[in-house]
Amino acid sequence: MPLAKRFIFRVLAGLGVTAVFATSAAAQDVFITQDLPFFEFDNGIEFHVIEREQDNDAVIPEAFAKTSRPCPPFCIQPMVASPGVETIGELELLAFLEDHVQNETGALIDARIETWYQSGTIPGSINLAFNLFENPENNPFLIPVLQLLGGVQTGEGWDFTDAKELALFCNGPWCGQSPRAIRNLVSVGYPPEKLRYYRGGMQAWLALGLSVHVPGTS
Amino acid sequence: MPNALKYLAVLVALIVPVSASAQSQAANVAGLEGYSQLAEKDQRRLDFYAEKIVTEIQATVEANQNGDATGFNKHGTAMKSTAERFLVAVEKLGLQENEANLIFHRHLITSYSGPLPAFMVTDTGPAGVKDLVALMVAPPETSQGNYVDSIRSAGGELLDQ
Repeated sequence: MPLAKRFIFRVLAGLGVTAVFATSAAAQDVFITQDLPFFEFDNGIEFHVIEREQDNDAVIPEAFAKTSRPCPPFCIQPMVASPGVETIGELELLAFLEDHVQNETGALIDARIETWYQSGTIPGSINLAFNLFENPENNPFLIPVLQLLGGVQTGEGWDFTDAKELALFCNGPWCGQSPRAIRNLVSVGYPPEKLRYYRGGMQAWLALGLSVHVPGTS
Repeated sequence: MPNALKYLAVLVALIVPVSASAQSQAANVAGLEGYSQLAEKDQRRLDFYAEKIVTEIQATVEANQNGDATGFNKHGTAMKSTAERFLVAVEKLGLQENEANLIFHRHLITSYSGPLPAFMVTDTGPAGVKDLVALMVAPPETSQGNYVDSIRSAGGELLDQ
């Protein structure tokens, strides 16, 4: 980190132990963007900070290092999950958190099953697994989910006028779960312009060393 | 003052206000009037950073005990940056330094385990958040402007790095 300031710990003198490292420590030098060292937001329940791993030698976690899962089912997803649905990257996702999740006009949805979610997710997300949206015509569990998202049942179907803005993601570009959930939402009338697809998913998120939230911890 | 006595003094300094705050809870806790008037999300922000400072102090001390220089640097740096963010939040929210330290010390006593490291103990009580930031200083010279740096600063990376 030649351009970054390096710091020497005075702490060493105060630790009161025999071990002394010839050490220095860099200040934060892995920013999100040139002007954004870290990102703070509060979803009304918890305060979160999203930042990047500062260890320049860090690598992607092993669970996301595989390149060749069997396809099907783990096939490469198209850039557009459904016509009219915007595909977004990490910075747009941060903007979504700030503009919608923080203001409670939107929700970031982790469309993976609960075990994946519990092992680590994007801060501020809620878990609505993709299978909740399956078979929309004959799925009684879908009704409370759509109501939760602001949909109102009408005689002929659903009114999504006041429904939340949504951004969905799953494990990565090889994961079909969030695209399926998006297509099922569109099929019941959820406005595509209220939907976003974070195609990179957890794999891209982790590849950039971005913060992961483990539900149940602060 | 012997370290053991200093540690006791710190405990007393911490326990008294914490006990008082437990008794009067969300009402006007002595020394935390400003905090208690903040919006919940602002309280969460301060508590988040105060808790993380404590976590990083603990991790720094443990890394040092284990001879883990990499971990020591990592957690020490995180401690500093977290303390800086805490102070930025404190300033934006209009709290005084004493109150900021009290918030931090509440987390210290509830979440820190084991003897406090010497750098956390002062003659007047536990170190404050500004003290933690001051524990790290820049060395006199920092390399600037060589060719490799200019590539990196433009977003490039050398293959052999």
